[in-house]
Amino acid sequence: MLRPLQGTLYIAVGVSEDAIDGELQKEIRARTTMLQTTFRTLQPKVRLQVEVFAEESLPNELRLRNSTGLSPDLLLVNESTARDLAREKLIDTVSFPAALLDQLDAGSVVRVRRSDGTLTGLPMELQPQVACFDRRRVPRSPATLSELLAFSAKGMEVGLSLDAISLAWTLGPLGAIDAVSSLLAREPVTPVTRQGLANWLGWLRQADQQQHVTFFPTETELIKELTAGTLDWIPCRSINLTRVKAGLGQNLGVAPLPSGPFGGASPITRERVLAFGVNSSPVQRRLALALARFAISPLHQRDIVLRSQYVLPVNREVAPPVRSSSVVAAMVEGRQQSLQRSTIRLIAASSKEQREAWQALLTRFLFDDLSQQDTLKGLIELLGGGRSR
Amino acid sequence: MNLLLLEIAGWFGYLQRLEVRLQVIVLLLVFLGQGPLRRRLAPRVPLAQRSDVVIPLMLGLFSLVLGLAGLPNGLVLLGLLLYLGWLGLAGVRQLLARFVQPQQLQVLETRLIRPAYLLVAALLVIRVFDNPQDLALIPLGQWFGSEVTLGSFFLSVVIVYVLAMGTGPPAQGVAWVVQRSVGISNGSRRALALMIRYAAVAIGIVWALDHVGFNRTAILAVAGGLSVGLGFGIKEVFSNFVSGLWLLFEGSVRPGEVLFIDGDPCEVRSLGLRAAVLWRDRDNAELVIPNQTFFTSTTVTYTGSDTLRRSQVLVSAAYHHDPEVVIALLEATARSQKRVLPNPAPKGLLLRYGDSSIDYALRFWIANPMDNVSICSEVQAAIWQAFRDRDIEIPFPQQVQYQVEGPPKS
Repeated sequence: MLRPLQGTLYIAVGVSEDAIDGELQKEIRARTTMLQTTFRTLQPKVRLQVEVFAEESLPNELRLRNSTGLSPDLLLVNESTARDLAREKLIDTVSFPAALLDQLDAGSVVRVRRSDGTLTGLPMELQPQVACFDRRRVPRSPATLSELLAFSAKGMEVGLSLDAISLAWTLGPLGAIDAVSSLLAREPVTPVTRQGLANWLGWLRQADQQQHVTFFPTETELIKELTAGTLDWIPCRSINLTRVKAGLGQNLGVAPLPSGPFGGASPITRERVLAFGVNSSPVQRRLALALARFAISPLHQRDIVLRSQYVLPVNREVAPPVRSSSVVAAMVEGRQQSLQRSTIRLIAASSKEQREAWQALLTRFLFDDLSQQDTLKGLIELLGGGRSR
Repeated sequence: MNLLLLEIAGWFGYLQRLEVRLQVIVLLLVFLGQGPLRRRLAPRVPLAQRSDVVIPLMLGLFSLVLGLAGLPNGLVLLGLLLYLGWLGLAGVRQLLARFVQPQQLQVLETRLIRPAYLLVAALLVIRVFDNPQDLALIPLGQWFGSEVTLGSFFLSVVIVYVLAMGTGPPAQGVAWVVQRSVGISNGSRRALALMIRYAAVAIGIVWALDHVGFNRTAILAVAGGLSVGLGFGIKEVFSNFVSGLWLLFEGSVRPGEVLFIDGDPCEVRSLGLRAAVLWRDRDNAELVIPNQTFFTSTTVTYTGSDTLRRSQVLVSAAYHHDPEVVIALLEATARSQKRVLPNPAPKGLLLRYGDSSIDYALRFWIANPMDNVSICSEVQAAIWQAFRDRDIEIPFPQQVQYQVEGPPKS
C-alpha cells in the first residue's frame, strides 16, 4: 500500500447540454489539470483523462460504455443525476467511513445516501445561484422583485430563464414555493395553493410586459447576452462566474437574488458529486477513491475556493472567505436561501419530463398562447400528476 | 495538437482493465488467426474457406462466451457490427449497379462509399473510447489568426472532400433538368454539370475556410503572396486550369465533343483541372492532353455547331460504263444505308478520268462523327454488291509494257 499507485484515471464531467462549448471545455480541462497537479503530490504516477458529456445523455452513454468495459472511473455530476444513474445500476454505489462523511455538508450527504447505507457518490462542491450584473449599467443589484421591475422600467435590461430550475428562485418571494412543493407531494389542491401560483404567474406576466425584461430558454443564452452587453442583470449559477468574469472583468457585480413580499429568494443550489464507474480495474478504483478523498480534503476544498473557481466547499472545516470577497459572500447567501426554502426538494420530487413540460407551459403563457387561468390549470395538472379541480 | 496526442495516448490506459484486454485479444485472435484456422479447416469443412462466414461466426461465438461469463463484450460486438457493415457494402454495390454505370460506380465506391464507411467506423470506435463532441473542441492551434479546433477542421476537410467527390451525380442531375427544360445540347449539359461541380467545390472551400474561422484579411494577404509564387512555380498547372475553364465557357472542348487529333476523330470524355481526356475509337485509346494545347493550337471539331459529318468514299468504274448510270447507282446505294442521312442527300461525283478507270466520289452525311469509319465500310460494301448486281466493273489498273531489244538505233 505504501507504493504509489500508477495508471490513468478516466473522469467524465456532466454539464448541461446547451452549455458545452470550447470555453467550457477549456475551463474544465484547466480545473482537471489543477486537480491532477495537486493530486500528484500524493500519487505522482497518475494521469487524469477528462471527458465532458451532456448530463442528459449520460445514461445512454454509460449503457454503451459499461457494455464495452470502457466506463469512466469517476463522474462529476449533479446529485440528482447520480441518483438516477445509481437507480439504473449504471454506476457503483460506495461506502465511506462515517468520520469522513461527518466533515461534509450534512444535507448533501443525506441526499446521496441510499436506503442501504451506501452512497450514490461523494459530495464535492456546491454551485449556488446568484445575481450577476454589469456594474457600468447597474450600480446596485435590486434587493426586491419590485425593485427589479422598477430598475428595469428605468432601462436596466433584465434577462430571465424559462428553465424550471433557473426560475425556481422567484417561487419563494412570490409565495408559490409551498404551492409547488405541496403539488409535487400530491397534497390536495387548496385555494392557498391556487393563490400562490396565481401570484407567481401574475408577476411573470407583469415582468414579461416590461420593455426591458426578456425571457430566454436557458441560462447559457443569458450569460452570452450579459457578456455581450445586451443584458445588464441576470440570475446565474456560480460556476458560470468564471466565464462572465472573463467577459466583463472588473465590471462584473455579484449579489444575492432579490427577495419579495413572501420572503427571500428560493434559488436551487446545485450539489455536484463524484460518482464511481462500474468497469474500473482494482488499481483504478483505489485511485478513484483516493482522488475522491483528496477532492474533499480541506486542502483541496480551500484551494478551489481561494483560486476563484466560484464554487462553495462541501467540507465544513473550510470556511468560505465571506469577509474578503463579496462574490463568495453572495454565494454563501445564495446557499443559505436555498437551504431556508428547501428548494432542492423540488428537484428531488420533480421529474425531468415535468420540468421540460413546465418550461413549455410557461413559454406558451408568456407568448399569450395560454391564458393565466389555463396556465394555472396546466401547472396544477402537471405538478400534481394529472389533478385539476 | 499536443492535447490531441495526449488524448489519444490516454486511450491506451483502458488496457489496465482485464475486460478490455480480453476483448482486444479476442479481436486480434479472430482477425489475425482466422487465416491459418481457415487453411486448416478448409479440407474438412468447405465453408471454412470463406472469411465472410468464419469471422462473423468466431466474433459472435466469442461475444456470446463473454456475455455468458458476465463480462463486457461490447468491443467484440462492435467489431462484428463493423465487419458485417463492410460486407454489406457489397450489397450496396449490387443495388447501385442497377442505376449507375459501372465506371461511375467504381469511382463512387472507391472515392465516396468506402471512405465514408471507414470514416463512420472510425468515429464509432472513437465514440466508445472517447467523446467525439468533446474531442471536436480540442484546439489544434492558431492558424491565420484564428483558433482552429479539431472538429471544425475535420468537418471542413470532410465537406470539401465530399463536395469534390460526390457532387458529380447531383450536378449531372441538375444539368439534365436544365437540358430538359431549356433544350441545350448534350455537350452543353456536360459542361454545365462540370461548372456546377466546380462552383459547389469553390463555395465549399470558401465555406470551410469561413467555418474554421480563418481571418479573411490574413487569407487574402497570404493568397496575394502565394499568387506571385504560384505564377512562377506552377504556372503550367494554373495555365491549364484557366484554359480548361475558358474552353468550358467557350464550348469548343466539352465532354461529348468530337475532335480530330492526329487524323483520328476522338470524343472528349472529360475536361479536368489540368488536362482533357479524349477517347480514340480506332484503338480504344485514351489520350490525356493538357488543356493549354487546345487553347493555343488549332482544333478541328465535328461538333461545333452541329454533330453532322460529311463523309466520302472513292470508287472507280470501267470506262465503258455510262457515268450517269454509275452516279445514280452510287447515290441510290448510299440512300439505302440506314445510317446515312437522307438529308442532305448523298451526292455522287465524277472526279477524274484515270489511267485505267473513271474515278468517282460518293459524298454523304452521317449523324455521329465517331461512326465515320464503320459507315464508310458499310457503304463501300454496299457499292461492291450493287456494282456486281449491275455488272459494273471495277477495273484493275492495267499497264502494257513493251520490252526493248537492244539499244536504240541511232
